[in-house]
Amino acid sequence: MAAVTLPVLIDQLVSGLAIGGVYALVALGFALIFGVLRAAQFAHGEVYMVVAFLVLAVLPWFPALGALQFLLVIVAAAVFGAIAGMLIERGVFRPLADAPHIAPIISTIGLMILLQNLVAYLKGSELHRFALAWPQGNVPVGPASVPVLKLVIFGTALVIPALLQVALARTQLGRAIRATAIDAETARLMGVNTARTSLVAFAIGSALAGIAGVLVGALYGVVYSTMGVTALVKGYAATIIGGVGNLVGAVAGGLLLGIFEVFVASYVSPRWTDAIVYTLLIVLLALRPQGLVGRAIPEKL
Amino acid sequence: MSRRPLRWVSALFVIALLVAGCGSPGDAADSDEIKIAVVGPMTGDAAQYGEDFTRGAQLAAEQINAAGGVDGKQITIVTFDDRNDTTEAASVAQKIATDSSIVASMGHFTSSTVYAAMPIYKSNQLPLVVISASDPGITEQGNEWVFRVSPTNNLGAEAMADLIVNELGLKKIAIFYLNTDFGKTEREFFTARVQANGGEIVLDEPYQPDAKDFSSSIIKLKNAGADAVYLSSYYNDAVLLIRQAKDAGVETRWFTSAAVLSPQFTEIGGEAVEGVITNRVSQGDSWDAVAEAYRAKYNDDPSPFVIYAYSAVQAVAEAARSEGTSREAIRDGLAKIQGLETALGPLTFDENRQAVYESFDYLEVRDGQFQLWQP
Repeated sequence: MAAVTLPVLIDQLVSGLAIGGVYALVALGFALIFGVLRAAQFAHGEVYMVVAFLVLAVLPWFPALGALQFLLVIVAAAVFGAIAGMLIERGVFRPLADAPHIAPIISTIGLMILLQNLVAYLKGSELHRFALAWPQGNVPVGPASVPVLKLVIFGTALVIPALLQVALARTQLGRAIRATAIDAETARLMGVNTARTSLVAFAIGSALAGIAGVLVGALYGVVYSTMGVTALVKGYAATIIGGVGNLVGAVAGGLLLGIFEVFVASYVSPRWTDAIVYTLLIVLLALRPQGLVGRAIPEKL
Repeated sequence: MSRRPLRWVSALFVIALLVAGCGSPGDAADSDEIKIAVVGPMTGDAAQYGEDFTRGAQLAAEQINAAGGVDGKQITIVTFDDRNDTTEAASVAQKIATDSSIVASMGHFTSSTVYAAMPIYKSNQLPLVVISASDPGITEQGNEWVFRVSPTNNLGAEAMADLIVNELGLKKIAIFYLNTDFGKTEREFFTARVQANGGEIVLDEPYQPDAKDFSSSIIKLKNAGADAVYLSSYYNDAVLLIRQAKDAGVETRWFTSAAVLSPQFTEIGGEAVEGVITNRVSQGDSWDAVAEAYRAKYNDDPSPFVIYAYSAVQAVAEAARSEGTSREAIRDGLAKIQGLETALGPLTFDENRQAVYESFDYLEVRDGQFQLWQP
């Protein structure tokens, strides 16, 4: 193995932050939806996958003009994601609002399987090339040279949660979402339209998943019908690391998971990455069920 | 009172199961068709390979049947999906083996799935012709029901090690390998030959079958100072690895296992895979003739797996012609094949029921296609 030098460490750190940023976006959306609806959205990874395929389908219509194309891709992903999220909220969650908690979980698992197979049927289960005109090449970061793409992905994964945080803190709707997340019953008594709030939370959470889907497509250069499974597992793991229902924790958890994976793959072996990561996750759940940074809140996950 | 109908239904059900379960072995020999099972990944990541198997076998069956079949008997191909999964491979093999109308099976894509299925063919006495799995160990187990028309991966990997180190003079070599039976054995043979030739392995990196993110491995490669990289990979992993390495600014020469040979490799890889070199067993005129028929029918270039599948059907047909159409007769007939003219050229099985191969062609990706290349 090559010696551990500063450029190598920087390179590894940037890789970890890029993939960690993707996990963070997935986890953030998952946590937002869970916070408001108190139910796990197991088809969250399929939103990520379906959006990536939809964006791939409209990609030829976007001008291949570097950063503009990238921006359009992000916006399109957010829009597709939001639409998908609202459809799922209306179609799968709303009708089951008064059903036992297990019901929406089962129905999202059903949706997950349905969407995976539908895409595999329509588009085939092979890899599909997902190439963006920008960003490409490498830039120097200190003594290292790292891919611009990874920096951009990490940047996007920081900016979007920051914007969301501001929106949640400063806007009327943001306050409504937070109030619903803390106590839906009381929020409703205080005049918050909780039905609309959960629709909005679903739209935003799914938009985040959509953005994560195109970012990972750009990172790997391909999209495929089963990509949502990994996203769900990693996003869920990141949510647990950060503390379920904790938005800042979800982002921190995603980034930590990404960095940790790269370092285990680099200094132990890629063969053991998942085994080690999930073992630690079980240990973490046993020792700190509220997550690394979270406070304990009552759960139904 | 209410129990009685249930009891009748149960009894009927059991009888139906018994009838379905035990056809007499004589059935097949009396039939006017020779039914061959083609099994492989028909869905999932590797479905392309399953399609190659099916098309190759179908094409051979059609041409043999059009020429009068085997002593008047028609060849029928039935396909089965093992989803490239070892558990599924074993249960599908069981299903095939208990269908007494099937007299030979061919396929299972990877060495892992073949290993999972092999004992089932043996215990049910059904010949299996392997058409892609390349772990040499498969034909070294003394399982007299398992034949292989495709080459073992030690041959291709060793030829590649000779090319890289001896002919091209590249001494510092990185190897990436899929952490499966296929990848591990190929890595072993490649590494041993590189070292015997005086080369050095500067990076030895495994990866998991579902890997899509190769970042950490690529950072190691960036810092390993390799003159050449060898990939013991299938096309989808190889494409992702090469693409991500080029995106990360790695400059080196790329060589791969023959397993990447698929139109998908160049389609998904695009400009990133230009200049990648691989090898395959040498192809003669009969190969080209089959390729021509394939192009006419499917408007696409056949992968080697099409040709292996085609040749496997030819071998089974020849075995049925010489010894008869029972499972045992086909097994005996296959064992006797010497210099049979097939799509692969003359086919001979050695004492381990492994097809004999001697020379290799090198291919380079040029203008989005695999093209013959001279060192």
